Amino acid sequence: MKPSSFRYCAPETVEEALDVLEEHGDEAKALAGGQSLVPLLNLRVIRPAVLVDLNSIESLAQVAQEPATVRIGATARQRALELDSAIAERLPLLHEALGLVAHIPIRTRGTLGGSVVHADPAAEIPAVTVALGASMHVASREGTRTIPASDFYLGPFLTSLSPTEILLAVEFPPPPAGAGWAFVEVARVHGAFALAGVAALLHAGADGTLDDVRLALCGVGATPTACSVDEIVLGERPSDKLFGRVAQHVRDTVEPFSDGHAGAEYRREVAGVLAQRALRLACTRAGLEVAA
Amino acid sequence: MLHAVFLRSPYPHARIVGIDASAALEIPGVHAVLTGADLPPEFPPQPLNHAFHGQRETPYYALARDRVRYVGEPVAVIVADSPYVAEDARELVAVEWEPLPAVASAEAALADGAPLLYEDWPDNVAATFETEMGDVDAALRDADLVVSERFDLARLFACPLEGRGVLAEWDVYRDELTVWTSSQIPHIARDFLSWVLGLPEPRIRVIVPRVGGGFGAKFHFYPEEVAVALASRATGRPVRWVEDRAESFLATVHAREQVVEATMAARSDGVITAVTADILGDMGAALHTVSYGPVWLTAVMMTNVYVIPNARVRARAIVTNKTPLGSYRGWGQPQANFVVERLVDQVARRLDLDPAELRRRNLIPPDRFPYKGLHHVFDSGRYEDCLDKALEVAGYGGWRERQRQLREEGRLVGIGLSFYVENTALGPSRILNAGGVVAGGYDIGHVRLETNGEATVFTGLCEMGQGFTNGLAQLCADELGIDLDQVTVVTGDTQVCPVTGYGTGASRSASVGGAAVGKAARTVRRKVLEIAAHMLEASVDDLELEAGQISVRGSRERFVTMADVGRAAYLRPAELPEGMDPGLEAIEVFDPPQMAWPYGVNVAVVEVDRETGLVSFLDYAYVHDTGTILNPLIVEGQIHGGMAQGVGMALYEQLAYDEEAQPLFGTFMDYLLPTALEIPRPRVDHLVTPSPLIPGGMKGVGEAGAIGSPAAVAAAVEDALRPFGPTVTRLPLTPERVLAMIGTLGRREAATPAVEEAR
Amino acid sequence: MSRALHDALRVRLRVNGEAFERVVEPRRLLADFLREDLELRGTHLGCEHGVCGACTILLDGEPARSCLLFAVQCDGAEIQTVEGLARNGELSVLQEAFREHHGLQCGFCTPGFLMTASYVLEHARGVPGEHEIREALAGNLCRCTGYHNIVDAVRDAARRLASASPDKEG
Repeated sequence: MKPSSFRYCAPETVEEALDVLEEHGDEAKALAGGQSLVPLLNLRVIRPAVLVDLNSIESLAQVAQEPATVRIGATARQRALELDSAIAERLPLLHEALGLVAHIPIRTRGTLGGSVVHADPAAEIPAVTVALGASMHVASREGTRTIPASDFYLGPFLTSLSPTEILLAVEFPPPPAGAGWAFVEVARVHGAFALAGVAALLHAGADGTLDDVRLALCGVGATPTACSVDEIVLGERPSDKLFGRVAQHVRDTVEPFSDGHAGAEYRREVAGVLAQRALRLACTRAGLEVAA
Repeated sequence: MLHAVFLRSPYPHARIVGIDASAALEIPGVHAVLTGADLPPEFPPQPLNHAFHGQRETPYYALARDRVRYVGEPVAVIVADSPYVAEDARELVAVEWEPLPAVASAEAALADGAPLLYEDWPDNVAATFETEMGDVDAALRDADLVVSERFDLARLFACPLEGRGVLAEWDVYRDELTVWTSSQIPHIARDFLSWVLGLPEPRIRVIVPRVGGGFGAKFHFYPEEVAVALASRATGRPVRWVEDRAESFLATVHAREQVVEATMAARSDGVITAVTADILGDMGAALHTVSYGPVWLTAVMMTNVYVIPNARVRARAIVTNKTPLGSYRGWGQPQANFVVERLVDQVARRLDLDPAELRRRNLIPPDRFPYKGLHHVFDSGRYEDCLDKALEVAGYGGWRERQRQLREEGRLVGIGLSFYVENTALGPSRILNAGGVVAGGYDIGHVRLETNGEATVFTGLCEMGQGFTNGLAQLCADELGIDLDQVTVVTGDTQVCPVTGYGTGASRSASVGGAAVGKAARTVRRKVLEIAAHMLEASVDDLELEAGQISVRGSRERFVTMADVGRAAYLRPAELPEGMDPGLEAIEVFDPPQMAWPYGVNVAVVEVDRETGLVSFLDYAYVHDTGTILNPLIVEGQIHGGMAQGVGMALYEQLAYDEEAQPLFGTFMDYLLPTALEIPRPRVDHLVTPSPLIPGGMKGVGEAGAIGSPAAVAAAVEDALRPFGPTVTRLPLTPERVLAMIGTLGRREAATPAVEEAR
Repeated sequence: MSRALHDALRVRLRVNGEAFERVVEPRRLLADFLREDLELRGTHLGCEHGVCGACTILLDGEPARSCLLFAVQCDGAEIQTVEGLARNGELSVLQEAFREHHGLQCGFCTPGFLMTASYVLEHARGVPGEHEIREALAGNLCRCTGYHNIVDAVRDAARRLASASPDKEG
């Protein structure tokens, strides 16, 4: 399990990195935290001729707390974000999900952007970007563009990022004040990839009826899956019965896959269960009572 | 030193048409590529240590000659300056394959028209073993109750965290071979290397350094050990191979996989009258070092700890296109325990008896020992005492009460128990040889008192973390009255250590190895006292040996030290008694008269998440009797580790293949080892009933933890799911299987959420 | 370093306080660099895909898998390996606790556990609870011990360290 040969560079600016990617195209691979990429290199599943190490580009690791958004640089470490009190306060959903990503010694190196670009359908962070409606800021030599999370993920390990582009940052709009959140998942052993996971965000108006509910799931489709439940929940008061209908809708909507750990039917069933649990927990955190 | 990597078959079954390594050999830093074509025509297949009566031959070689029978079978060895370069070269070795149809399970292998792994056989059955006692048909006919189930135990493996490794140095000028290898059987490995390579045994030195876990997987003689030696001869250089994790899943023996159809008969008062079992062992592509030993052991353990007068068992060893099956902690005992204990639970359910009570009514009583069961003679046991203590430690009655309350709250809480017995102190040689084991069942201990008064113990056993070196040192130190720190234990080197008959396995190191070392230490002690008596001008009977000093009883100022005695024995023989030879060492053999039989009870308390199928532990109690305990910390550590592996077997671990016999695993993402958060902390307690057969009374504890835990966890999950009525017959209990048993899956058209329905 | 591509690179780093300098291929894994080039074989390779944790080292004070890092990425880094725990032949408090609690059997996973646990102890506020320790150690696999004695060892070490420096309490 030793990687095949590659040539290596560690540019200090985004421009330099883009130059190398432009020159080598498909032959080059960008390296962020390496917690998914290096196993694939060690197993020789991939054999890039050129490895562009982004870890020396300081600007890529910055976290910017803007008034309206939180902009997290692509190579900000998961562990650093997990320990960042401003993230915990403004993006509690992301904070909760980060704690579920593998283990501490993985998160110390693993990056937010790396997880987003790797686009493992079972990964937590991509689901959070979908749930929160994040924007991906992307650069190539042609310039920059912004891709909404909902358009970013195309399939398992496949995104709309081209080989000559780099993810610069993910910009998260914090949820509305008073919103409840929850990330819950089922994994067979601690730290393993989720068989199914649900990111939930909800908000109720002054009258106690729900006016914003967002669900995104991981592990139950080719990509992180947003599940719109507006028709079921908007204007309703939280209740187990209501969330039971949401669960059923989730089961009707998702298109899970089967693998050695669980079949599609299990994932479908549990996606519903987790949606209910996430919504209940989110209500508790928002101070909302859940009727029977 | 050069580094070797192996090119392995990507096909479950294929003919090798040709191999072209020329491109690989052109890479700078590549020294050799060896294939099956480099083996001379008369080159022998890999020898086996177990040759049971009537088993068919399944020859396989250090490197596949013209046919491969499983994914991962070694086809070529590539030798280069570094593993990086060797892996580069491996990609350039071109093999032309002719794929053949494959069989992926024992049942598929038995089907009409199934592809044959060995063309000269009529079917894919490598061996059939049958045994019977009593009148089973009559017992079944007369029974008040007969329960039958089909049990399905997954393929898994020992998975030591350190993979295997081999370093071979073949000195072609002296024609001597030294092999450092991660083996549990150094002497057997040396003999087998000799038989295969044609080099006399004394010219081969096998050295086993401290090994990173074995659990039976390293009790095997592997093709890589031969191929790396050949690579060293071919290059004239030392060659090292270190198994990487990905290949370990394919190249190290698998274990456990069986399908068992079994029946138990009982009277309405709960007395079990008969058991039958039809066992299919999926051996993979060939019989490996221990042949179908684990399957055989499952067969003969089918009466467990119970007085069951009538039993009939058939075990068939079936070849399939998968990695060969072999040893793993417990051999075939966890499977037998699972089957018998699950059947006992079914009888209890059907008779509406508490499972503990049903067991109590059938345990072998103390006055029946030595007890001859289906095959073995059990040496001793206080089974009912052990059960009582386990129920007490577990707080069994209290848990039953809490279970009733929690069930009313809708929580799925279950209590499961299992009773196991383990065969340890494997021997005696005569019985092993009669049964087809090539090696013996004895062990030889060598103890030497050195000139400075410290002692060295030499043993052919291998330390892989069990801690028996500590136990041997303790035995020796106690016998010689010196400090533990003053004993050095030298292990697993065929050139300096005595032969260990069977190797390091079958929970025999402390018992058989310990008895041999104890015996040798006693012989040395006698000579120490004789020398001291001469030096002190006293009678041996008047001497005391303590804290490194030999003194005359009653007059402590008259003493000599162990160092004085050591110096006399080696440097100043003139100080020895008249006629005594210099030197102060002893080599003694212990061949146990019978095996020893430790036993114990697992009590697991679990909760099942009814919505996700996840199983979590609320409690775990473990009470056992392993005879004399040399070191409680080590014994408890063995229980912890074995139990963790049993929990892995019960809930997590599986090596799954698809229908074409392609593996669906290759990393730790696919093969799940439990973490610190998954394993319950057991409350361990013990009885001590010294074995009447082993000097010192030690029974052995290496495998115990792994034997009874899967059945206990299964029973607890079944008990938790009692409101839904399923019977747990398959492992591992994945959350998906648990939900399926609850009946939640496949009902999504239901109008109300399944969750509510289930309540 | 910039956009220039390299087939081999000079790496200067400190391991356990000692400076080293070597020229390596970019693909050389840090674990192999430590074990083979610097002959620090206490760091073990158990899976080479980041799951088992045996190769865990501290990179600039944080636990990381040395099988998922290239040596060239560690130019200028401060690395601690298991060899750095004992001082002047004296085992560290944590190592001593592992020994006393029988927290290792074969010892193969132990270096990784020790490094992860060192980080946990370094950052713990007071004495961490059993679950907290288990969660922190869940990224390290052990096949021998069933983990309980490891957990006890870490907890005991935390207690001893906390009582040695009372300001860490709370």
